[in-house]
Amino acid sequence: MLTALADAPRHGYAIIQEVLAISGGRTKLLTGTLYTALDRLLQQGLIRIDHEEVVDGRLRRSFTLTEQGRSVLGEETERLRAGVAEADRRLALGRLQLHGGTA
Amino acid sequence: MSDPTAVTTTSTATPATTPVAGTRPLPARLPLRALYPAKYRAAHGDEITAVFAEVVQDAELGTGLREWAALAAHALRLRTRLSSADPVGRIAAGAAPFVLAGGAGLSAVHLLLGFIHPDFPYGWGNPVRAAAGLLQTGPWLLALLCAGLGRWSAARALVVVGTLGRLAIVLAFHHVHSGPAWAQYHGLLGFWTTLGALLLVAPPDGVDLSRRGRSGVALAAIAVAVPLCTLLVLWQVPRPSRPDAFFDLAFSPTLERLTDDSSHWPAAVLSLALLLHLGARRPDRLRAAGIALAALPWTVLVSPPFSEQPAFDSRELLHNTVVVLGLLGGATLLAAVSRTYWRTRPVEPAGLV
Repeated sequence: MLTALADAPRHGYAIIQEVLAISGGRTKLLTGTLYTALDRLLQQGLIRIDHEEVVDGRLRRSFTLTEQGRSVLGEETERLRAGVAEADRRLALGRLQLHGGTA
Repeated sequence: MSDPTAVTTTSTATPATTPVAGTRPLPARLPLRALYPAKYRAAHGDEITAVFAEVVQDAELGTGLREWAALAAHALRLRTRLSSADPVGRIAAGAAPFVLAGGAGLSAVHLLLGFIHPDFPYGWGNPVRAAAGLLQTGPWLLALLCAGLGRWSAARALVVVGTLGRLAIVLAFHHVHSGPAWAQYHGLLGFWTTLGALLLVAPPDGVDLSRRGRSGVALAAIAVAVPLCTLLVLWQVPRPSRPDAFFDLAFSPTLERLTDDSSHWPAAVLSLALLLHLGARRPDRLRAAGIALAALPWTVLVSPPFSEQPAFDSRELLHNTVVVLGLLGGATLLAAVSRTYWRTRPVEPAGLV
């Protein structure tokens, strides 16, 4: 959800759609799950309400990352990147050994 | 939720369209706003209703009902202050994995009991008994497997199946066979219902499903089950000289003492889990309270090695309560002493070593 809000503020339904797209269709957030998570992220100070609007008679609140949320997402991204780099390194090492190298 | 920081704007001037009730999908006609507490409803009711309406607009009936159920659960958690943002909810979330570990561990014991004793309530003596035994034990073991794989929703669903199945069996045996068998099934109904309820009220998003958390649950379940199963086998396997004698064999006082004390084993395992949690670098006190909470139902369980009957009287219950609270208190005290020791321990300057 933090990733879904990283580039722009989004409202509830847009977050559901964005998470679906980011996960390649694997993660479909239920509305109840979405609001449970939004409540918690707001309480933790990782997101905040950016603005409210009324569209077709329906209230929409848009959420955005706070500085803390941006920092948490950045740290998590770094952690994942390090994991991916390590996996790449070991795969390359494995390929080298497989082809008769002396790593 | 916090106050909005930005402006309130009104965009597209299109008037709200309110479809005729009959044309709206069934989930959209179910009560939803009223389920939320008044304050939350006033702040977020419109928005949640709007998102829900968009989601169920073209969804299949099953999907729509799942969406409604998830929102109803969210509303009820807010009403009962059992969301992951509330202290009580966080305590419940801390308890749930260890409730599951204990329940699955005991289910393993009962499953083994069924193999060893076909005529017991969990026994495999005939198809009805086998089905009844499996319905009571199988879902908890599968739930543990699901939790180990990180599938908490599936684990919860299985616990619902196990709890309702147990209730159905008690009712069925009450009407069809209201004899000793009913009494045996009935014995721990309150205990199992308590475990099921504790697990179900926990907010799923607050449960620790990290690799470390899942390993802890699996290890706790194994730690509960293996010694109790071993004791059951030691007690139950007939001696070659008297293959039919299960109950009237004279055991050494040591084994008898061991058997009596084993009723506190699950609470001892959970106390160890509490100690390990409190000994971690940054322990979460509410999660720790949850682990302690998960140990409390075990105050009612006695009569090892079968582990299928509750405490016989209030004296026994009081004794068990004192032991379980003593174990939890001991773990907390030990963690506090250890923490104080490490905090006050003088550290030699690195340059002098």
